[in-house]
Amino acid sequence: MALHSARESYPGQNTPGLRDQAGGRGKALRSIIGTAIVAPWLLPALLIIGLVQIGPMLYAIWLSLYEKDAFSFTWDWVGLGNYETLLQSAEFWSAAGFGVWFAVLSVVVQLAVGVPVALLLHQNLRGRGLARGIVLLPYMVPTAAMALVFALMMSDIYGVFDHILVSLGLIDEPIPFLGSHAWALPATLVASTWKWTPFVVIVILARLQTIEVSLYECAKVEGANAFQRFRDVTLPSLRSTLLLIVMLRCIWMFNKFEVPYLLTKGGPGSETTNLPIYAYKVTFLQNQQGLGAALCVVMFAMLFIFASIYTSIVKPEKEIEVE
Amino acid sequence: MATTRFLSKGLNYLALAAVCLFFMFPMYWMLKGSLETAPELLSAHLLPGSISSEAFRELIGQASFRQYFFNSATVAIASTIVSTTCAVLAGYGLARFKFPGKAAMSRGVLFCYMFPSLALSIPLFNIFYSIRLGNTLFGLMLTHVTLSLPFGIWLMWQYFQTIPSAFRENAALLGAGRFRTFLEVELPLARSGLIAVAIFAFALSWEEYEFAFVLITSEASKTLPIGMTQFVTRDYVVWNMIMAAGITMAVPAFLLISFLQKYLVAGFTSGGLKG
Repeated sequence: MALHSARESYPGQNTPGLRDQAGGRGKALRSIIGTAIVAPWLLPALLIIGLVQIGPMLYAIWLSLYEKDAFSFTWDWVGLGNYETLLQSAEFWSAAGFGVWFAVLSVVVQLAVGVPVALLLHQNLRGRGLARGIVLLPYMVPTAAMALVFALMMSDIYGVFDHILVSLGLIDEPIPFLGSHAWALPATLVASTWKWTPFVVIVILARLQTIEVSLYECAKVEGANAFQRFRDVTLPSLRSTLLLIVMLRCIWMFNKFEVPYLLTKGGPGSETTNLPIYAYKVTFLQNQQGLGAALCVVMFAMLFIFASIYTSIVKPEKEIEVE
Repeated sequence: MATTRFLSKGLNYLALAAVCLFFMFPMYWMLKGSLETAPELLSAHLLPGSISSEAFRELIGQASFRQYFFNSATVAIASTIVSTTCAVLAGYGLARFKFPGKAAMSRGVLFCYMFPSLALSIPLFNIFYSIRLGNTLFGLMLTHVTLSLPFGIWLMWQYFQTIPSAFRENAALLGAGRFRTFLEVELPLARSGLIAVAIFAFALSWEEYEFAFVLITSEASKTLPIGMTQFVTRDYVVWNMIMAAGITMAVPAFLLISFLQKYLVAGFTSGGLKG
């Protein structure tokens, strides 16, 4: 399905020259009628998206120009003051830095685990079907439940990891994985790898299944070994899929709130605080609503830039044509 | 040659076993914890000492748990109905009508979806209070609709496109109006898409954490994901109950989504399902 201009919709109108003058008015009229007919179908969806997504974004931009705390009804105009405060605060930069770092690192780990697992599950092995089902498990487990079981397993008092490590004699003292400087980030990474690697595996596995077997046979006839076949056939076919995965996963991981929050509360100190956690703390724990709104706007802006790049590479309306 | 092949096969199976172990272990731990008594669970042995339903019985005995469960079910069912209705209508509109700005609109819907729920819920908190939706299950339900809407619209759009226009033309010849044709001819043909959208809508609402966390502050309106995480801060000894709550939350979502494995790929690659 191509882009729809009114002109393409009404091919009869496409005769050049002759009807140029009348065409302008007719086109405008038709597009108004077209919009009027389609409006009732789209309106319910657009109203809800407007209320829950567009409304808050505009409201956040407005609120970010004021200083307001939760208990007073006074709004003090500060212009761009909140943004200035943010850019000068070390906490903001550390949260933004950690957010980006966590997103990149976790996507790297998810790919490093997910791609080999997908390749393995693509092999003709016995029990493959069962294994595919098992790999899907984490996606279906609600995130809050998953965060809690990881919190239990990583506890230094009754956690199974410490229990095993101590009884094997690898460590003398139990490590408080979620509360220590050295381990909070790796522990969060392990939990998020478990939960979100299935995304990578599912998408790559689906792509692998569409690669023509004849390509591999050709390569074999030409004398390519297993590694060469992987490099010259598999990898090029996966390229666009990998690009898509990297972009989507970076966005989703940057947005994560519940997993880092439930596991570490952003600590120890504020070491594992990313932007969503920081925005929550500023708004509801420090009661600086204007500053919190400014933070939301900064997040919107960062993701807007990222999402523009994404939608210019992957066009959602083009996807439909392929199917 | 034969030995290397045998060896690589063996390595593959070894890797397969390791992968299964990694992805199954936390689930096993949750199930095991939910079937143990509290003191047993704290000893962290790999195998359960004895199996008891104590945790589940105690959990169901708690009035607050029953309230959370009821709230979650209410919100999930209501948002499923609303989301599916909106997605069907919008998908049909996109598939059947030509209008300016269509491509931009479909892209815009996905765009909004890229923004973090938490950053939306912070301003939404004030908006909902001023329009009296603060702390209501109805307000929360509206936010949950937007979680499944982008994918729902996209999937229904795709489904309606696969229905040949001959069906519609025949119905028109028989004198059926546009809406009647949609309701009695085209919608039944897109039934399997509709079911998929409904199941995803339910599962996504059922496990939603962030909107519920910020928007709901009264105990009476809390949903299960929020309520169960509070057991942790309230009392540190009830880990078996927390694990049991995790199981009650995981089972419905698990059963529902496992029916829809084939749609997961479409959802992930269209960007319409968060992961």
